[in-house]
Amino acid sequence: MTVKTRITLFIAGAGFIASLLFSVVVFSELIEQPFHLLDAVLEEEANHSVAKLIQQKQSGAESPSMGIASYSKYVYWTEVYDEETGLLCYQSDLAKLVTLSRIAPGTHAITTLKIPPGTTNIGQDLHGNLVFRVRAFRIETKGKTFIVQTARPIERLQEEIQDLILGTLSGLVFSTLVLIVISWFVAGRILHPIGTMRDLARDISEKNLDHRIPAGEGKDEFSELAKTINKMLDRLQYSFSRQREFLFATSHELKTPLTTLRLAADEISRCDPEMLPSCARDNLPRLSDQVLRMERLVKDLLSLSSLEAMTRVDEGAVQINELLMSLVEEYQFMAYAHNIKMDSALEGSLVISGDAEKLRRAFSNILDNAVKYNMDGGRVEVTGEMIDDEVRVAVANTGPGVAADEVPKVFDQFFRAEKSRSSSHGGSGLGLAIVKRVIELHHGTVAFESREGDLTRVTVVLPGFRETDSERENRNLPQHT
Amino acid sequence: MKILIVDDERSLREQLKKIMENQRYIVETAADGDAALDRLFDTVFDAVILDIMMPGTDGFTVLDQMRKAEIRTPVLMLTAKGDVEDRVRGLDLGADDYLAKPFSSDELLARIRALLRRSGSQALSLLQVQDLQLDTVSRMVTRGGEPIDLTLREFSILEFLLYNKNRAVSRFSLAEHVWGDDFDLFNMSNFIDVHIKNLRHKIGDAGGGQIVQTIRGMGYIIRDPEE
Repeated sequence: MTVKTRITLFIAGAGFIASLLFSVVVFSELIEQPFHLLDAVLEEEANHSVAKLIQQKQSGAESPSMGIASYSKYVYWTEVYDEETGLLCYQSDLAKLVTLSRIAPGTHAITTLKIPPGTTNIGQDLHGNLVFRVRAFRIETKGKTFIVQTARPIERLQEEIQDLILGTLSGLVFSTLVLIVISWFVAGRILHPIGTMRDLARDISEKNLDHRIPAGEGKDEFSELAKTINKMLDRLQYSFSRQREFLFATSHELKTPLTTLRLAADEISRCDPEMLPSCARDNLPRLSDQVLRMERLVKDLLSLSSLEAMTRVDEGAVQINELLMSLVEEYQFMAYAHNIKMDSALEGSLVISGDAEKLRRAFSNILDNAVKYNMDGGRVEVTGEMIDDEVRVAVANTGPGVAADEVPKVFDQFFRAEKSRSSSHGGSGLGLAIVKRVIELHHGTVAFESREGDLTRVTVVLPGFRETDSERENRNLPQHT
Repeated sequence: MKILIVDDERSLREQLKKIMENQRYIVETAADGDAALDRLFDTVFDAVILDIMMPGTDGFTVLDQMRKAEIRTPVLMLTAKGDVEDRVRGLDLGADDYLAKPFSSDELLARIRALLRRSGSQALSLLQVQDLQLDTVSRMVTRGGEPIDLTLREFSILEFLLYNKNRAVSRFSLAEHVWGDDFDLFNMSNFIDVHIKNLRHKIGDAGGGQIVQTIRGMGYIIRDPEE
């Protein structure tokens, strides 16, 4: 789960719980509200009934129920008893129709009665159910005590409650949705600097270690984090350059002892072999070979490390076809000496912009491999063509090839197809790494394909040289004579 | 021929000394820049082999001081860096040639001979064996007065062998001299045989003359009994 989702869920969840609590409180208040109102009305009705009863008694009317209907609203169920005698003094019209069980004075209750529809129409539902709110009072007035039980049908209360629940729930859902949307945006805003850092961290490699995260002016956590990451990058960059310098310096330091070693080996191999003890004679070729190999390794290490340190090359127009031509001429002799046939098919004008010396080195390495990792009676084919403003050079050769699972590793430093075989060819293991770096510096690509026992092909694609407009105009200038 | 070898590395210094002495040069050595200047102000040398990277007074300083003191002895710089700037700086200060470490003894000796030839005592641009002549300046090759057309590589091979006259040159150092660093010559130097074959053919050496002789398992030699 992403942090953004988590923050969103956290904020929305907290908001949901808060509004749920709020809703519960409001809901419970609201659900009690109608009963409070009803109870007040019932109490008033009770007092009113008693007051009316007293009034009627004083005015001489004997019958407790006479004339009551005139002041009692139809919806009230009222019965007044004399506490001493227990006699019913007054009964409202509704009480005559419906019988409610008596409850103790000072209490209240909710009673459901079944009144078949048609008997009377006072709001019962389809099944004839009618809910009453019932209260009973003890009222003392003018020395007499009455027990008054009043009730009122609660029409549509259930619906009201349902409405209330529905309203609360939909309010809850709506506010939660709004919360989710808002917190999603808020989380996005909070996490925005993280995105910037991620983009930079993704793009950073040993080639652009000088990039830094904009830390901003603020003193917040994110700018602290950015500063920390930048400091880490500083240290990385430092140790990277230190490592590079170290490699360069080490290779340098190796040169002087290597010179001594080589000169010494040279001198021994100059001696008359008959004069040397057999142990020296047997070991000498190995010694000389390894000195030369080490020399090559040191030179390649130096060129690779200086190429790695470069970010761009000197640019000039380079005739790739001419460069390849002269290399093919040179390697023709080597190929011939190894009974290998070398062919080339180069288009007339393959021009790119770059550093001729470095490109020569790169293509020389490719041809070198093509001859060395070949076989007796094999061939090498060099093709160069211009395809869509790009110069495409392919060098294909017969030979043992490279196993499929090793192909992706050929451009790695010190890669050797098969240790024993390759070291007998003396390669430093840096040849193709140098090729790759040189081609990269020229904004080109290099690909390696090989099938064991079949053709091995190295393809280099370089962006073709682009003339500036003025150069093109000069060239196309009509000749006036 | 008296040569001064200046290098702070004792083993390399001794090695160079031995190689030069084997070629019957008279050799003196100096372990640092100051000692080198002392020797140079004291004695006249025919050539100086000067290491650039030395603690204290380095090769550049030695070169600068000796040229300022009007000592015109030819100088061969030894440099560990193959840097263009280093070379240019050395040559600007008056060095006559440079050699990047590591190098072969064949290369070193050829450079020294070329240096000695160019400087006063043997101011000859002509290298010769029997009736074969090679002009290092006009880059012309003749045999018995007849001009011979050689490729660039063939010319280089012949020139290198002539500078190493009477000394066997290994295939590897010959190839290294002619093709330089661009080629990984390890175990590949037998391709030079093809060039030698062409060269012999062109200089009319294919038959009995044998100017360029093969030393089995080693390389080639041009012998000149007159020298």
